[in-house]
Amino acid sequence: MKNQLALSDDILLRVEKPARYIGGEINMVVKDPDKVDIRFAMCFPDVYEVGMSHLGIQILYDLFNRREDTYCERVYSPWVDLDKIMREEHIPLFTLETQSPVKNFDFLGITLQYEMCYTNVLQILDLAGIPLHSEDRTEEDPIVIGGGPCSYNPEPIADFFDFFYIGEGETAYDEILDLYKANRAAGGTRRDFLRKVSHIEGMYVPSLYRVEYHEDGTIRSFAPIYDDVPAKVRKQVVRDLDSCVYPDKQLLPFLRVIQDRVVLELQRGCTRGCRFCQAGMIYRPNRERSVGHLLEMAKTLLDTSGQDEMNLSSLSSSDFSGLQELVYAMIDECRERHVSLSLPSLRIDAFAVDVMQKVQDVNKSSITFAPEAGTQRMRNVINKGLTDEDILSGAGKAFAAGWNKVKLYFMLGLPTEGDEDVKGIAQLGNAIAAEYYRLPKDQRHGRVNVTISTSYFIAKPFTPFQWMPMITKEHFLQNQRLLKATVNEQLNAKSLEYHWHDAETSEMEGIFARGDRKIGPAIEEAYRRGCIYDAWVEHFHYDIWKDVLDRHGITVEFYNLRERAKDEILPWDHIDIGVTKNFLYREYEKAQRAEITPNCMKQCSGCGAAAFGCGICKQPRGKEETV
Amino acid sequence: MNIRVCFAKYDRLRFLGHLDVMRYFQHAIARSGIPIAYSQGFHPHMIMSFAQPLALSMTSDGEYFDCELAADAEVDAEDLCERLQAAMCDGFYIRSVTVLPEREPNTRKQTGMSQIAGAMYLCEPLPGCEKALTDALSVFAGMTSYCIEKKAKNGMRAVDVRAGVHAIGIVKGSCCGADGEEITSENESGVRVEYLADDGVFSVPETLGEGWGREHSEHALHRDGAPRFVFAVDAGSENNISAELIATALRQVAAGELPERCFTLHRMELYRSMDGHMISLSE
Repeated sequence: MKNQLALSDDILLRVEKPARYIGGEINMVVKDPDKVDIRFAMCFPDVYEVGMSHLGIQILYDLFNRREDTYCERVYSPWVDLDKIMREEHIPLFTLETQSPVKNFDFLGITLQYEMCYTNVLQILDLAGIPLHSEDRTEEDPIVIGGGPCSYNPEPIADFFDFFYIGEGETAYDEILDLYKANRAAGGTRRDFLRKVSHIEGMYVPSLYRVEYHEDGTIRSFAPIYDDVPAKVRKQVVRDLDSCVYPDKQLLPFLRVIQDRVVLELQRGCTRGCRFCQAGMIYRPNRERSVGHLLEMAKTLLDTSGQDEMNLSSLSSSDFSGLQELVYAMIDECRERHVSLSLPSLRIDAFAVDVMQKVQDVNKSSITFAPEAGTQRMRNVINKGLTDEDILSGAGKAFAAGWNKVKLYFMLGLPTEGDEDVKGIAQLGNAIAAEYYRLPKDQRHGRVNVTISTSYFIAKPFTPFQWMPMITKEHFLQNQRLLKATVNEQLNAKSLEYHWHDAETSEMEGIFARGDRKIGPAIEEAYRRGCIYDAWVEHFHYDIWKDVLDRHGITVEFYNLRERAKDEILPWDHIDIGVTKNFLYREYEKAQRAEITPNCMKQCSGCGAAAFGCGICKQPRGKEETV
Repeated sequence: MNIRVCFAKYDRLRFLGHLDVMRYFQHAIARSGIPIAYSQGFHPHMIMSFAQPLALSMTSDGEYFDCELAADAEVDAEDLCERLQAAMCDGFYIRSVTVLPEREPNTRKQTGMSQIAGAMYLCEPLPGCEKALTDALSVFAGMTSYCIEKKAKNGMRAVDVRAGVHAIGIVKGSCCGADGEEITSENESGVRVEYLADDGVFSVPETLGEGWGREHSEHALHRDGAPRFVFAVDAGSENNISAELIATALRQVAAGELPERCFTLHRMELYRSMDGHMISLSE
């Protein structure tokens, strides 16, 4: 009966895009669930098209299913239409592969890619029939694991998880699954298992730690309850990417998903050290795959998927040392196969323009810059190593090659920001447009179109800005108005367009990002009152959230607007990412003086990631390490 | 060189929409390495043309697309069929690949889509609708004309549904085979179909399941004891008698006895017209 669907035809005909719920995609793994020891449900708590776009799930799905004793299946958030039906008709949440209830699985792994998915996590647990709180679960319930970037500060959702896996999944899951089997064979309980899991490096079991607060709400102490539980949880790092497994048969969805392409992961980590960027710190050290390995992987991925687009994925492609060699080697094969290459996060220089001309349609595509800030001073504060000159000369080259659309991304509300910095955004946009009009008239292709987008700066844990106050929502809106007015004043105003990001979601994201365990009950109440899909503007209920936070005494002032003291115990201090708090604090001080820190490729700044003994940290560079 | 691919769509995949099926085959062709021709321009795409979209929740043995192969491609229909089948996932089956005759110079391109003139369906009532549907069908079969209003590009238009239905058959012995044994996919081809109406436009099958790929399907096997019907209808751009139209007509005939969804449909085959007669699209 493998083709029996969990939902009736009647329901599938009533919901939007029923193909979200039927599984059966190309490269889906088929196993007999009765013939495995461990059933693992892997979840991305958002709608199918978002979840299926995520590389991490593909990697773990492949990793688990390589084990003969384990069957890993997938589950995504039912969209709001099906959510309603499942509640009304008491249909338990099911996996796509075997269409069986998640409740019957040994594990439920949930990846936490952004803070605004927290109510969706509760939706998943609730629909599955699993108690929301770790402490209420029994031997009948799956072990609920969290992972991904938000697990680096998991405190707001600590009560809902049995444990968090901090770091890269390839290293410790085998040990965890073996431990699970051994514990079960020995008649051990769920509690026994969790206690033992805490001894594996990288595993954080929140229920084994006690937190106490000062009267002002800051943390007085945070410590393990038992002596055998480590006080610090160290993140997991793959030391050599070439030797770790990579899914050679990626799942290919029937539906058009958000990232509708196969993904080739060039490297992990980033050498730039932008001070607002969490990914740049938590994924240190930077580690590259070899070009030879990547070319082989690329060929296999295209053979097994038949996809017509490949994405070279990386936090900063231009910093990948073998990029030119790789791209030039791939261009011909891709053209022959009618596959297009996409290279996000590429710094626009002569090489980029050459590649883009070969792989993109000049008439349809645009070039993208992320200066993040409008003035050089502000970019020094955030350590964004990009100058006006880089941007103008890059744009100039692209214009000469035929492009006439530019997208620019900025943040408003960065630490130390003044009105001049806000106005600088419009001025930079204007300068780029002017660069276009410097071309002789016969070489232009109509009017240039410069799109400026701004988002609201959110201070994240494990960044030098983790101590910094964010600006108020009102101040942010005021900056938006100032920027809009300044854009309109520019000489090339007709070529400029300005878009902005909603401030209310960002305010909430700020609270979750640097939140502590006191946030958990508020998230639960918001969920009970109907909040799900908060990451989707049309489903975000600011009024409910505002009310819930008020009732729980959670204030924007405490979580977003205050400057934290150097000696304050931060809710995520027990997580050890290799990069030290001292380094981050030095960076915080340098930011205030608008001093820059060089790229790891130029010289080591002694962040602490060298302790992992791999990647960029092992390469000889300009200066000796000073740890 | 053009080829016509006939495929079956079963099981879970009955909930894949038409656009997703097209995407699926583009990827499948790329995986199979079949030398397909691409269009010119900066964004070349595979030259493919799909026949009649299948409604969601329907399974089928008669799905078609035509595609053009690269000019220098060597063509062996059997080899193409095997290579495509190897690229399929569960639920899709390649039934045949036919090499289409070269087009006469200066004639219009005839793709599968533009040739379609008829379709044959197997219909199974949903639980509780068996009797009402059987009764409505007998009444409907006895009529010579039955018009209903259909939404068209410019307002409503009357369609004679009955005139568009060329044959109506009842599958005999649906709970058991001809000699009383239980029906399985192996002996199903021996099950007889009795026609309530047949104007001779289609060469209707006397028994059920001849040469169909239904043995692949776990879903298409019917519920024990449920009656089943065969419809042969007009299809294509000229006069399309959709499943929805038939359902609407039967519901009206049954005068309120039947709910909105009263049966499931399986498409058996698509046809083109030749000298006033329907022949299979793969012939």
